[in-house]
Amino acid sequence: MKRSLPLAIVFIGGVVFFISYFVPHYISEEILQRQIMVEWIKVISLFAFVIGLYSLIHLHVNKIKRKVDNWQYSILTLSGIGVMFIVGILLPEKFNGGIQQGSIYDWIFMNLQVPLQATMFSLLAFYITSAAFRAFKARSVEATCLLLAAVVVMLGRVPLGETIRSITQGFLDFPKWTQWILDVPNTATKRAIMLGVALGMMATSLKIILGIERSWLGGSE
Amino acid sequence: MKKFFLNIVNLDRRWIFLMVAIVVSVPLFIPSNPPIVPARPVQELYDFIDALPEGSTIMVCFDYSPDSLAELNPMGRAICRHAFSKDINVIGMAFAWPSGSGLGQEVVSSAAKEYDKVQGKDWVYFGYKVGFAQMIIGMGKDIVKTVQADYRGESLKNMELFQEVKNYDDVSIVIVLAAGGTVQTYIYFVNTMYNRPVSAGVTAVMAADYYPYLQTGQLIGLLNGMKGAADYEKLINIKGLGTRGIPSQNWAHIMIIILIVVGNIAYLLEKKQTK
Repeated sequence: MKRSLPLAIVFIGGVVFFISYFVPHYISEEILQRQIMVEWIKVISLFAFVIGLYSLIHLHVNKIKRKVDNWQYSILTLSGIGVMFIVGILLPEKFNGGIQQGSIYDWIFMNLQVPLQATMFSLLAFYITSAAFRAFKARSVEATCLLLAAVVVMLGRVPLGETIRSITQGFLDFPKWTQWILDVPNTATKRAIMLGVALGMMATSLKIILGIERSWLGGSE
Repeated sequence: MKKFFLNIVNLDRRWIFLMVAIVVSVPLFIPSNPPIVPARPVQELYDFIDALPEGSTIMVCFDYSPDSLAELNPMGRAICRHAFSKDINVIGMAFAWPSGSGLGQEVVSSAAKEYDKVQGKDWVYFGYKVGFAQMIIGMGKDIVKTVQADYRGESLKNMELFQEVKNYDDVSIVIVLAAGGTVQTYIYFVNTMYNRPVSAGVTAVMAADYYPYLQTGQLIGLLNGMKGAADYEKLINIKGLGTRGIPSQNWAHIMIIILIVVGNIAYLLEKKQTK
């Protein structure tokens, strides 16, 4: 029963919603997709949110209790949750509470979270440059092709490519070559990959719906 | 010279980090006028919006979080400015990421303010709503019933904009600004299921994934990274953050190319030496 019930739910849900996607009928469009699915997803997401929040708080409280390495950061995480909860939900609007523009919540988001997250992502530029210097080598014919394509695209997407084009009077047309690389070899390759992925997804979905693939249930038989 | 190339392979990466920091930050403080020629996919989206009649409505989806705002915020701002300048209504939303909600809100409301547009009549911002794919499917039937309220919690039912805009049939194009794989969801449902035009603006690292959709016509135009934003700004004749970021990108690309060339010369010399 413990395994049969989830399998049955997945089978019925999979088949019903698969058919409903292709049948433009009131029951499939209005009842199944709009009323049932939209409402159910909201409810399920809410449960997932509560579980996620509990798990996050539980994890960090335990870290603080056990004084594991860098436990001080857990205090920051919990303080962040607490502060955002207070200013976003509990604090009345007359004291700049709420989540609208100009509120304390909005100020913290725009002036703390935005620059911090943007900074984290910008680190990628540093690591990519370092990695390109050390690892981007013409070790084989394929690697050389990739390297040349990368150089062309990098030049074609910045003003230097335009400058070179105008200096050479269109002879070295990096922007045009870039567009060709993206339009032709890139599109062909991506399409092949997408078709492969789509077939794989269809096969996996069918296996899950039919109960052949059961690893998502967790545990062992 | 040979010794230089062989030694440079062991260059401490902190020097590379320092060089990146310099080439990215210094151009931001030096005013310049880089030559920007809009790419064809950017021109396609611009032409589509530009040809829309006054009073049309477009949807702009802010499916990204602050980490990608440097590339995607300027796109959103340029599109909203273009739309408002042509008296086209804008519906903004951020259904994919809760953290994108504040970003989209700032972009749409600040552009609306520039053109004296009225909230509820000329623009509406939904913010974040739970159930990403289901929201997109539901809006194809009835936007008001599906979304119910805007980001402030105000009911859509009485808003002037939604007396005319009922579902995707009343929306001219859905433009997705994304830092993840959400563009496909809009293609699957908005374009394939409801047969409405979809366009996208994405980060440069993921742009290559969307060229097949451009070729099939499932996407009308594509804004590719900061260059895409700068291209769009060029078309609407506004120097925004996209244009201001291009010199940094220019010098960063030049530096990476030089490092790749140097690294390869060193590699070939090393290979020759070991033979």
